[in-house]
Amino acid sequence: MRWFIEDIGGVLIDPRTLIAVSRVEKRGLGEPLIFVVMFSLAIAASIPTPMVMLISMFLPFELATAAYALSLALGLLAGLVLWLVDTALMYVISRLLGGSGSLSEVAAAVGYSYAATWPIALCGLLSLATGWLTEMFLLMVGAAVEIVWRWYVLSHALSEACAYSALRGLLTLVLARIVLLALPVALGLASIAVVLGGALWR
Amino acid sequence: MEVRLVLGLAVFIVALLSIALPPVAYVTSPHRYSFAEWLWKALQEIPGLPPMDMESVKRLGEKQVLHGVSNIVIDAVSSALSVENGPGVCYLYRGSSRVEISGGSASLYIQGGRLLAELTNVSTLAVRGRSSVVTLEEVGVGSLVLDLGSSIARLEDAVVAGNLSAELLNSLLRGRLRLERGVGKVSLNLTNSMLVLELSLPPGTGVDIVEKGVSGCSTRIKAPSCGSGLRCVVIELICRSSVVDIEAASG
Repeated sequence: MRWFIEDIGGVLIDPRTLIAVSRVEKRGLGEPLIFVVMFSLAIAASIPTPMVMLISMFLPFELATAAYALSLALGLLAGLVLWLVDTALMYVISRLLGGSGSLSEVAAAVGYSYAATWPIALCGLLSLATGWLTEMFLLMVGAAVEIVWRWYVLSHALSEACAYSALRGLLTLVLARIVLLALPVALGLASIAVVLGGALWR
Repeated sequence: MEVRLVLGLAVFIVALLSIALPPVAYVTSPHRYSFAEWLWKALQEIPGLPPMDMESVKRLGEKQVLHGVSNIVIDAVSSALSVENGPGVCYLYRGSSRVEISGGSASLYIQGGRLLAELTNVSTLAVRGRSSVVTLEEVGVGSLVLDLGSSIARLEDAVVAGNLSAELLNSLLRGRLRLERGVGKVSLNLTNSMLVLELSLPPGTGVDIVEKGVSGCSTRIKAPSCGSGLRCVVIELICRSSVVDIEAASG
């Protein structure tokens, strides 16, 4: 347990060392997976709670509880899917930028970086005592801290995993985020084009 | 190494608390009630709703008196308070329990997020939770049955308090407690499996408490401060058995 806790602190302070040690010791993806599950659950449990309390006023308690359980499950699922999508995107982009990291090394770097989401979980936790309006403010603060911290962690972790500079690691991260945001827009536009094209063709 | 350990431990604890505490807070938080109050006030501002023609239930947080009703049903699950054979129907409250008051007259109000009822000559009061039933039947005659079931912790908001006259309390308790004057308040707190009788007495009045105990319950008598000029006696019956029948135990 002690090494696990030290790894949480380690990745937040010095991600390069943790990625290097992980690679040398051939740890695999077990520990990053635990990071993803634990911090995804922490966010999924803490953030929706005040909103679910609000919504529960309009629903029978059992139904609201079922919705809450579903939001937990979806939050966990979203964390896992985002891990896979981020890994795939960053692996491809890192290769285009001259990186040499393997897919599992990139996956480990992305997985470990989930530890940096703790400010959001903390703000969600604090909001339990304040209600959902204050939660909105707290979440903005938490998200701001999380973005800065996670980008620091991930850019250095990718730098170590892919054997290129931290600047390229940051570029990889920025490009991956742009693609991730642009992907739904592109899919939507493509769908509209297909529908319109089909209509005109007839 | 120490910095990593301390930071890692702090973040680890935050993560664990973030996973464990919110579901507990969701189940136990009073947020629902404060929002219920807001909802009630918001509903009042919407014209044309059936509850608005009910003269005696005007505003939440203020005691409302319903006289001469034969049956009052508060269905907390569906947020409905219906007054059968009474002045009308209104939506009042949402929680996890159902309160039925039959006969007599009752004063209903919400205080601190809890539904309170002051009863006068009420023949039946029943609080029905998801899986347990608390029935205070024929108050004027003296029969009290508590069926606390096995899911007491689920009934955190099923709290009913009724102010009873000395005469009714004496009838209810059948020789266990003699109250000459003053008023009493009985509250059933299902969360703690607790029946609490609070008696507020003017100076000079007497109260004769017979400590025989109640089958299935432990009895504790407390005397808290009760404001200026009043004596207070609080009797707590902490019941662990599934059924407590005070009438049967009082013999």
